[in-house]
Amino acid sequence: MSENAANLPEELQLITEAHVKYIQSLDTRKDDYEYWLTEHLRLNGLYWGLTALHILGHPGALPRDETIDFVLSCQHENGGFGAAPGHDAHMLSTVSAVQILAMVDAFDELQARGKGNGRAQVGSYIADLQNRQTGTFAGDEWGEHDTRFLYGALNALSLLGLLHLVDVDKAVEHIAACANFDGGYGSGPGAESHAAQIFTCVAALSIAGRKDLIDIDRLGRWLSERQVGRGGLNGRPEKKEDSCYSWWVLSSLEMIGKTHWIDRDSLVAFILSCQDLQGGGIADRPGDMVDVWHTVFSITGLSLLGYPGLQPVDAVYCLPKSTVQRVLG
Amino acid sequence: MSRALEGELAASLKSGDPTAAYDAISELFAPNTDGDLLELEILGRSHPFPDGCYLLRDGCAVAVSKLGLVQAFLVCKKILTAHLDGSKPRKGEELLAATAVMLLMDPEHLTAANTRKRVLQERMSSWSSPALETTFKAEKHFLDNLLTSRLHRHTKSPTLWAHLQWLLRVFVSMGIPVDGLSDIRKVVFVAGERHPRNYYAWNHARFLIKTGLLTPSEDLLGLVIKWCAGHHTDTSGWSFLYFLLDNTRSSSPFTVHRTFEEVVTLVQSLRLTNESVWVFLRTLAASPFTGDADTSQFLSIARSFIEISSFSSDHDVLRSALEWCETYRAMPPLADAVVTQRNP
Repeated sequence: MSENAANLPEELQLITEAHVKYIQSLDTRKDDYEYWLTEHLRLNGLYWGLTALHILGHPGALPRDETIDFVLSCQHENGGFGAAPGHDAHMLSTVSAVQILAMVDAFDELQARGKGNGRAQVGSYIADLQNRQTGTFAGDEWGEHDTRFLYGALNALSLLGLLHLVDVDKAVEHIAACANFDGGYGSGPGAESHAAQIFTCVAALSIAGRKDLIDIDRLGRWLSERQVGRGGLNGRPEKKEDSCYSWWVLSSLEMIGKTHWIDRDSLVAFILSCQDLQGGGIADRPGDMVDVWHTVFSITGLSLLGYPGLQPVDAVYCLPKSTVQRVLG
Repeated sequence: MSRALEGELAASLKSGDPTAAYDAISELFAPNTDGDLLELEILGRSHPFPDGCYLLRDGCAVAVSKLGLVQAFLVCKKILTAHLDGSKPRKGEELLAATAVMLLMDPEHLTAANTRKRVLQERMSSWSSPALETTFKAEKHFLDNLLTSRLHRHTKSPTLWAHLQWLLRVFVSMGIPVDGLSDIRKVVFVAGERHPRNYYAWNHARFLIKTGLLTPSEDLLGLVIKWCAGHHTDTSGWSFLYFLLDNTRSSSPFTVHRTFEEVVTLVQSLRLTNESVWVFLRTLAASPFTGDADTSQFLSIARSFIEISSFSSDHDVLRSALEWCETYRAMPPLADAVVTQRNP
């Protein structure tokens, strides 16, 4: 393979077309056993795939009508969404549903064809999961609490214009209680600091307009220490680098204005080295098997890093900026 | 075991007897309240099983054929789907058998886990107390098996750990005793070892403390320090140790000093320079509940390590630790200025 100054080696470029084809192929294998083995993640997977396609500049690569039909087929009478038809409703799949409908500009379809009174039904499903004493949110009726669900709730409700249905101040108090002495945040008060949980807390505070509560230096320092070895990021001390932390860590740094505290060039090189140059898709580490989760969070990470040819991503919502601007005005 | 299926395996799925696979594998989880925990493994293409054989058992060690498990899963999925859509409702025992196999295949199958909760909850309105106690203990045994197995995804599954927490809340509501210390040793420590930096296992440890099912005693502290010493590259263990100190210092200020001394002795005797232990130490040394003498000792140890260490990667960890402690010892966290809740 010849190289000259004008052509970078293949492994240092983003192979956009291959990634688009990889994502498109994920839903076509309905006679594959793997399709049924991953059914309980389907709606989340659709959000990951669609977001990646939008950021790659191919928003139309999945059929819009079928996407909307599938999302609505996951909805329960109480307004919540399951991961696939017949699967229990849960905060995470509900948030994915709202994010997908936001991207394809289908809130009017939700209003017209959704259960109960449309957007309000979804809003009340989410709002009913808040514990009004502590401000925290459960994932479903069975009571698991995690800042992921709190963030998801604020994300989806704000997109639906229904943030007033919940006690945002109490939610903010809860997040403040999750701040650790080491600068990080965990899944609850006193929990281990973890980059993905940090993202949920910082993004939730952003939506609530309370970034003033963040100890930026302390947190920024914790996040900057996630960069290891070849330039990839990990999620906690002494863990291996993983391409998906390109999103969790970087978006958090972006929200507190400290992305310059990591070496961006080496991170870009690391992410690109995680691509599957034959089949498309991106893996957690070079040479590993790809999946749509690592694909989307690598691509959104590259977008934050200003990689050319990508659509801008919103660091708070993990959606195209164009979507957030259209919805929130 | 990943969710992906190798090509040959997918081809093999077209032959074979899925119902026989289901019958064999579901037997594994016939309700059982005591006995030793199983050592579960799932073996794929590299370990082909003879035709019609889906399990290999040697005492408590059990190997399940991945091919058999996938076939069984597809049978269970049909059972569960038909039950949930009302076309073919099933009894509790059948649902527990089917969902057990589904969770063995994929611990994140939320609907399978919730179906188990629904079955158990329904029993609460009609079964006698002794029968309920047996069924709930059997559920705990089932979970303990998966959470302590050699199945990489199961030991860290948020779905399974949350299910266990729901179950323990039921235990409490029914007055069934919970041995928190036993759970820490036999479930959390084991899961923490099977899957290093096991976020949800150690989150469960915090749950046990916060709900009062486990008391933060000197004994517990000793056990945790010992676990951390034996797994010194595991940041989650160190983080839980810090959590314990943060929650016990009001009852015994000496425990902070004692812990600090023990960890420092370990670091010096083994010449440890890995990030996890130094992040723990710098955080502890800078914390307001740590005495000045311990903080000074930390700073001087850090400086002496920096002088004698030859690897630049060690230097980074050590210098960061030194700077971090010096900076944050002098600076109270922003959170102190805000009204916070410390109770769940």
